[in-house]
Order: sequence, then C-alpha cells, then structure tokens
Amino acid sequence: MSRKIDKKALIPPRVILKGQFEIEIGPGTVLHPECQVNAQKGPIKIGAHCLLEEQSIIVNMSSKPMVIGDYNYVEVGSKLKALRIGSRNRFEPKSSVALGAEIGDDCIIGAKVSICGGDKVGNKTIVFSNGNSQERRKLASTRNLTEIKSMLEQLSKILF
Amino acid sequence: ETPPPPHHPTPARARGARPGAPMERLGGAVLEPKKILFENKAYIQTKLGNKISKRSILYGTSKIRVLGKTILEPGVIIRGDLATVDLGKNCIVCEDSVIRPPDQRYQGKLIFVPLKIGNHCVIEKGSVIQAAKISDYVHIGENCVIGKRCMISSCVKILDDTVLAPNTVCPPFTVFGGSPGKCVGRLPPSYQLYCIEKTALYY
Repeated sequence: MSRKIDKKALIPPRVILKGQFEIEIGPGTVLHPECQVNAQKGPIKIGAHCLLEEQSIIVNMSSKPMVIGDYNYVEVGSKLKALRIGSRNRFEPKSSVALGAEIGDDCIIGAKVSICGGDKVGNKTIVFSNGNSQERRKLASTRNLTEIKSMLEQLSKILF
Repeated sequence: ETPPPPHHPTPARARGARPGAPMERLGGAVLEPKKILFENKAYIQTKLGNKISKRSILYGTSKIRVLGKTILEPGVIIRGDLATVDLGKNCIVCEDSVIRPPDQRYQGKLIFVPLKIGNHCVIEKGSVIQAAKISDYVHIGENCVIGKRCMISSCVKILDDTVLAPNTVCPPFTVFGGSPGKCVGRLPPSYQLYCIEKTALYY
C-alpha cells in the first residue's frame, strides 16, 4: 500500500486515498477536499498538473494499472473508472466514465454524461448530452490546457 | 386563496417525504406536512437561527455568510476559501450539495467570483451549484448541475437533473429543465408566497 505523491502536489487533509494498491500522483496535481482515489483492485497513476475537484471519485476496479494523463480537469462529482485516460481532458460535473472505456487527449466530457464500457472517445472530442441523446463532435482545438494552467496557478495561491 | 402552482410534485413526494414539497394541494384539501425529526445534537444552531449540520463541510468559514434561519444538511460542501459565499434567510440546502464559487477570466487572470444565494431558496440533494448569483425564492431540484457564472433570477424553479450551461441567465418566474437547461414553463406570480410558506414551514 504505497502512495507515491510528488512533493509539489497539493493534497488537503480531507482527501480519501483508499486501496491496497499503489497510487501515484504527479507533481503539481491538486486534489480538492472530499475527493476519493480508490485503488481497489489495481494501481492508479495520476499524471502531473491534474485537478480533481470535490466529490470526484477515481476507482480502479480491475487488476490492471489505471493511467490518467496530465493536465486533466475533473470537476465536482465525476466518477472515473476507465483504465486509460489521456491528457488535457475536462470532465464536467457529475460525468462518469465506466470501466472499459478509453478517453483520448483534449476531450471535454459534458456535465452528467456517462460513457459506457467499451466506448472509445478519440482525441479532441466533445461529448455532450442534447436532450435525451448523447452527441459527439470533433473540435479543431481546445483551450483546455490554458484554462487548467490558469486555474492551477490561481488555486496554488489561495488554497490551503 | 392563492392558486396552486402549475407544476405539482407527485403525490408521493407531497407527503413530506422531501423538503422540496412539504405542502400540496390536492382537490382543495391541504395535506399536512409530515414532521421531519432531526437530531438536535447533529446540528449546530447559531444565534441567527441557522441550523448547520455537524457533518456539513465548510471551507473558509470566515468568508461564508449565512443570513439566518437557514438549514444546511449533512454532507453539504461550501467552498468559502475560493471566494465569499452569501446565503440568504430561510434557505434549505439538502444533503451532499456542493456550493462552489465559479471562476472567471478577468484581464488575463483567473479569479473566483463571489457567490450569492438569495432568501427562501431550496437546493435539493446532490446538486452542484457554481452559479454567480441565485436570487430569492429559487427552487433547485435534485442532482442538478448549475453551470459556472449562471445568473438565476427570483422565483425560478429548476427541475431535477437539470444541467444549466455556463453563463445561463434564467429570467424570473420560469421553470428550467433538461440538459442543456432550457425554459420549459412559467410560474404564477404567487410562487413567491408559495416559497416563503414552504421554507418557513420546513424550518
């Protein structure tokens, strides 16, 4: 049960890091209070400069390692269970990504959207709900990187 | 006698099972609201009459202002450390809601905008509020996601499971629903009285 937390990561007291397997958190990552990282059946590796907001849950329910890329912005109440999540993604509040799904880079998963197992979301895609159905669109470019960088900069000044 | 609001909650909810609908008018008769007993020890009662659960999670309490007679149920997370949060009188914030000031780009920098919630508001379970301003007499349903920098005017009802896109402006006396949140109905002018009655009674 080892936790490899980089010195530059910001983790407040109320974060829950559960599980018997290894959890690795990269530099510059900020975990907000009430966030849960649960390495239940396999190790989790979270990249650098990620932002996990309140009530977000990252669970690894498979024995394979779970890898989350850099600069991800996981908003309030999101649940991530997928094994491979790329970098510079944005998971809006209450979104969920099931085990077996794969998310590429530079994506935006809209609020309350759930991505089922076996789904593969490519790079630079935005997944949002439109009434009752889910829609996907390819984006030319996203500003995810600049947004999260400014967010992290501001947070490091005022948090904890 | 004020006419009943057009959007009635279902009868099961009307029997006081949820704080959102303590009273319901069915066929002229008024159902008595069920008494919801709460453990005195589980809540902190402040001088202004606020009932704040001991299991609620408040950050930056020096920047959180709660006007009076407001109920904060267990599991509520209020992030006052990011920016000031103002809650009005007679508000009800139900379990596991997250009240979080939104961020905004201003002159090239990112700042956290203060969040103001008006009087007699009801925020039901599991909602995520990242609005900039919520005026008086607003009812926000369960599991809603209120996007960043939203401005919700007075006397608005937001249905359960709504997702309001960032920067949405909700005009007064409307009902918003769906994902993305759109205006799905109107409310009568008596909604204000209904809200006051509802929240005061629940308290």
